[in-house]
Amino acid sequence: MSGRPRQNGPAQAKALQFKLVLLGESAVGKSSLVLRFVKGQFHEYQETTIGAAFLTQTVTVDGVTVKFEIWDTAGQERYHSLAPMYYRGAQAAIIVYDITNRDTFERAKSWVKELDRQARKDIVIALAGNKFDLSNKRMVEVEEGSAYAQEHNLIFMETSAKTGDNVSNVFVEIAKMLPKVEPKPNNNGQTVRIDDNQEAQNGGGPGCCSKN
Amino acid sequence: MKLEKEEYGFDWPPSFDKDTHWRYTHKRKLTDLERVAEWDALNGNYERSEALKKLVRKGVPRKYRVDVWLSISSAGQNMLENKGLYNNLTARCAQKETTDNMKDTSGECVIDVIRRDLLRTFPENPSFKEPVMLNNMQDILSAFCLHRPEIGYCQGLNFIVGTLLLATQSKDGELLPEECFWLLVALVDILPDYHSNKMTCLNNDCLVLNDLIRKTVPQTHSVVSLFGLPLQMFVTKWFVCLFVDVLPFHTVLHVWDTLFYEGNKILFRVAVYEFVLHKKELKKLQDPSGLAMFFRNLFWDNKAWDDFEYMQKVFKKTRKLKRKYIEHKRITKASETEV
Ligand SMILES: Nc1nc2c(ncn2[C@@H]2O[C@H](COP(=O)(O)OP(=O)(O)O)[C@@H](O)[C@H]2O)c(=O)[nH]1
Ligand SMILES: [Mg+2]
Repeated sequence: MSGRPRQNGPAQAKALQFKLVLLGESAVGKSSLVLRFVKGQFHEYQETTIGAAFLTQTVTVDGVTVKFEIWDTAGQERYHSLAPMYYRGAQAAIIVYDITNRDTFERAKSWVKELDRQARKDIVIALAGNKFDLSNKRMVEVEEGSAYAQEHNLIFMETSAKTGDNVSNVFVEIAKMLPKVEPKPNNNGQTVRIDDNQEAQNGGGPGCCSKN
Repeated sequence: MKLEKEEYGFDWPPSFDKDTHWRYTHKRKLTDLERVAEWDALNGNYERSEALKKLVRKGVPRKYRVDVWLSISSAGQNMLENKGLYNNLTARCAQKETTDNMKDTSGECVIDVIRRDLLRTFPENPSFKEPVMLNNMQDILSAFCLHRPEIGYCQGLNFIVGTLLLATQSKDGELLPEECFWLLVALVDILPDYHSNKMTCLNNDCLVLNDLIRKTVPQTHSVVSLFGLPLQMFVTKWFVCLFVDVLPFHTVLHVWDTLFYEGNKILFRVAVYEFVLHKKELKKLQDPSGLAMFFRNLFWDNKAWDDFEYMQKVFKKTRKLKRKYIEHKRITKASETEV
């Protein structure tokens, strides 16, 4: 089975499309991160995701527009068997844990291992320690997350879907790592712009420690 | 002007302007009057018959729904034969010795998992901010875990229990938790094993649906398969939540009327009809992203707001679908995936 050819040939110089999947234990904030990134909103009570939800959002990095096709998955263990359907062929993944809950960090590690084995070899993975705003209840130290990420060659950030800290940065960092058909050689124009997103000014908030 | 919520406390679709809204409520009032008169005439006699089946297909009026659901499913009988069991289960769920042993597959205490989903069930509906609603939801889901440990808690059951509580709530707001518990048990028994640990039956039924679509609405199937995405990516929720959060709330209840009476084949009929109904839109889709958006936006599609008309069409357009065929497909699909 092969997909219909994408309509973004070099002639059109249209947005590059990338499939991105969110993985992680239930209630770590996957849906909230997506909602923040796509709509700039946060809901204290975010509806439980059943199966998976689909959203899109574009970012412009160094003059190249990248469209993310985002699959936000269900977190409960029994939905695990559905996950491969969503990460199959994905060019990027965000694995999310909740910094106030150790078990979710362990679960995140097992996702990293699973993607290493089963996803595309060139998949770009980001590890996000979410709920940074609750860092007074932290159970996983920043150093621990970042060391694990470094060891496994992952982008790493602590994020808060609630305040917006680092949320768009995760996507931007991923976008930077993705292969561009027409690479723009000028690296000086660091004009990272996030479309339709109130959080654009939000820069590297506290707890940001992107690798590279 | 923002319209107030619909009768169950949900938002109207954003596309509803004042006119559409008025026309819809007006028409609904008329159909409801008609339905109620027909059910009044039954005098509480819900014995199975062709006539009753026909009536159920037209939708059970809100005021009769609890009684009808209890008597056309196994729930009423079970509740009578197991007097006190529900209270006993909830009492045990309040004891630490019991809950310590109730683990989700992740190893976490299942009560905690349930509790976390309470406020994540219909958050836009004001009823689901009320402590009594949330407490009852927790009680029913926990009792169910104890009663059916092989299933336990599956995300999605929170929406099913929430739907049962709302649907059976009396006019003055009284909730019927024990009835809802038995209705939940009845529903799970009507379904193949969708909600249990590995969800294998769920995956299997998605594959069956895929074949059904290919056979009955081939034009749309070829579009979907052209993108190389398994249908299952989009329809999992349809089966797990029995169309809750996929179709308008009152239409879901109408689907459930027939689900309780006729069994799980109705899920396939509704699912196939969704493809028939949206044939044109589906054929126009250009890429996988459009396809995914299409499924996401189904909920806000006005075509299912008139539940009466919608369900009449479901039955008309899918009348060739035979239970035998589904059962046969279930077996062949299951053996294919085993290899
Ligand atoms: N304090 C805080 N709460 C969050 C954050 N992100 C999500 N939440 C809350 O955590 C709960 C679960 O979030 P959700 O996005 O549904 O998690 P998911 O199951 O991984 O999709 C919700 O009640 C959110 O409001 C965050 O960054 N900070
Ligand atoms: Mg979610």
